[in-house]
Amino acid sequence: MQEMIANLAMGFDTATTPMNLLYCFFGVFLGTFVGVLPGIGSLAAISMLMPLTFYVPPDTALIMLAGIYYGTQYGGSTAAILLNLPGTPSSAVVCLDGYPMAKQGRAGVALAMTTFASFIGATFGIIVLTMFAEMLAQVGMSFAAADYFALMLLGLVASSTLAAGSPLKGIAMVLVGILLGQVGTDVQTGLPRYTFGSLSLADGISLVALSMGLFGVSEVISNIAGGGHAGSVYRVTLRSLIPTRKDVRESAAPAARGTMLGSLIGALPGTGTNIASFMAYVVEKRVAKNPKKFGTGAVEGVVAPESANNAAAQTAFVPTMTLGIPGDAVMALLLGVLIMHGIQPGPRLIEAQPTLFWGLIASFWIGNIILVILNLPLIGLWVRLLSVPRQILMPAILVFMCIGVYSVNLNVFDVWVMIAFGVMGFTMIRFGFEPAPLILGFILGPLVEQYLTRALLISGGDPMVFVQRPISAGLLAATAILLIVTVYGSLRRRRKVEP
Amino acid sequence: MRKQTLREILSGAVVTLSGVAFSIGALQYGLGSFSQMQPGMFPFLVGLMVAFTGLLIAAGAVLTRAAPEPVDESDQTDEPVQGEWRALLLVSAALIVFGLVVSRFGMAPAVIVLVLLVGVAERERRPLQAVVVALSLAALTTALFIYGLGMNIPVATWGP
Repeated sequence: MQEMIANLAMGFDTATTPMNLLYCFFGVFLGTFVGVLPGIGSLAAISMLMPLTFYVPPDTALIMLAGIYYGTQYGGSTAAILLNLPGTPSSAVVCLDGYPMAKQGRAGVALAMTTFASFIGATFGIIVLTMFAEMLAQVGMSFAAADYFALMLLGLVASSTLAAGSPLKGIAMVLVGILLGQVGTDVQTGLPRYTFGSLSLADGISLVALSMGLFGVSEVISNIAGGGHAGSVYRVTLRSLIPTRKDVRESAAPAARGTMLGSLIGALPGTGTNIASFMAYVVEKRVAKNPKKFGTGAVEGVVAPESANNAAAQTAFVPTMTLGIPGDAVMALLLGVLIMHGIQPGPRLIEAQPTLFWGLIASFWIGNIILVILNLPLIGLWVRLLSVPRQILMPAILVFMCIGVYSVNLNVFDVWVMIAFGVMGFTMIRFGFEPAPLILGFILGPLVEQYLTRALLISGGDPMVFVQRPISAGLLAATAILLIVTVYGSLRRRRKVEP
Repeated sequence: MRKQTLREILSGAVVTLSGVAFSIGALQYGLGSFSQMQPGMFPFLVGLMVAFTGLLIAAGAVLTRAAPEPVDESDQTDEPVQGEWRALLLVSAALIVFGLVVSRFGMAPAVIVLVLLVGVAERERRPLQAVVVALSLAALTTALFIYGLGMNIPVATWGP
């Protein structure tokens, strides 16, 4: 306990340097910004700012990018409540009761309650992260190469099959991502693979260009193609934010349940904030005495999902930081940034980089407090943002991405890569392929190969090594079950729909 | 055959082909054995898995006659409408022009050309607004990136 307090104190020392405070503020501010904007998500925003991280130390970079991630969870509900458009996928479920509340003139209450719920969820999530991170890292230390291989496999399969869309297509995307990660010089032998003799590909496909193309360019194209979302925005005054006593009383239990559920789901591999908020809503509907009121502006229906997705956003850092296994694509991007800075993710990360890890945790506390301030007294600013024409925003986003991707190596080749993946991402989405699993495969692929090679080298080529170790065998069994259940389930479900 | 089925078969085929291509490419790097894997082994195996997944996608579509997947709002699997292809083409063209201009003429001209071309891609075109946005973004990015962050990109130049 005392050690934890000492660690946290060290973290706050790191997080409260003027530069880190500034970047933390910048991160959560931008996070709220893209969260409020429908159509641009945290993946696009984080990719956009990745080039900037080359100018700052890794802890500052991580503090900023993480701030974008949990900041979007706060902002996402604003558009959901005011426009009936989810600012982020995880706030889609908030539309169900948030928008009816706005129609009844209770938009202010809905916004205030989601912010409180978000803060409660996030706070508990950070506590979970603080308590269990080192414990889990200790467990991770005892993992052998075979166990790591199995764990990564489970993470990849979980994140591709549990995400939106067809599980088979998700798996295809993870595998294609792994293949794209093969491009470049092989670490073991120094042999260039799939570079076609190009020097620009010798270091592999640039993660910045790849993610900006897949998430940024493709989203901007969809936005431009989709036309404007000019709708009437409800006005929100500060006075209207004040909830009634009944609202608070009705929200307490849902917030607690959502927080618990979200903390648990966020820490699992492959289940992100979307599933957390969706499940929290379903649970509330189940336990409610009067389920009929859901969908008509029930405050429980906005509080539970919002506390759940914010809790999940914080506990998602548990497997990412302690085991080096990212739960979703955002976490994978953060790991990618760490790797770019020469930091090896895994169970030794906390030990090797204590200021980075504890500084990050401390920045979560600070960031969440900033977010409450940004989202309550300054709510009017974000409401006004919703009426900024897209014809100004979209070109601006493209400009920032183009300059960003070009500035990394001052190599136009990276711009071409970004365009290629932008076109690919756009086309993929139209054919029902989600681009998020691809980035997971791309970042984890080289690690999977390393662990596989090492495990087989130790065992002398005997693949039985993966089933002889209990940890690895258990993880592989879980992977197999997940694979069978989801793929079989998706085929069956489709057959059922057919008359 | 329904359009949806055809679409699924097509996507499965593309996935399978890319997997096969990677596997064939992997052969030249040497496979080795399981105990001593050569650089080609891992991509070879993953390529085969990709190809197999592609076959499953296509087979699934044929077997189930591809009843529409449960659609939610975020998961649009509709075929792109004409306007979308137009936006795709014009935005990619704008980005390509940015790439061509930035290395030869510097950042400010590249930004201006990019914004103006994106303005063409918009459904509602507002030429005057596009010009204003282009000029202000050029000024803003120059101040922010070149003077603020000290990026080593010329503002405007007649370089090679």
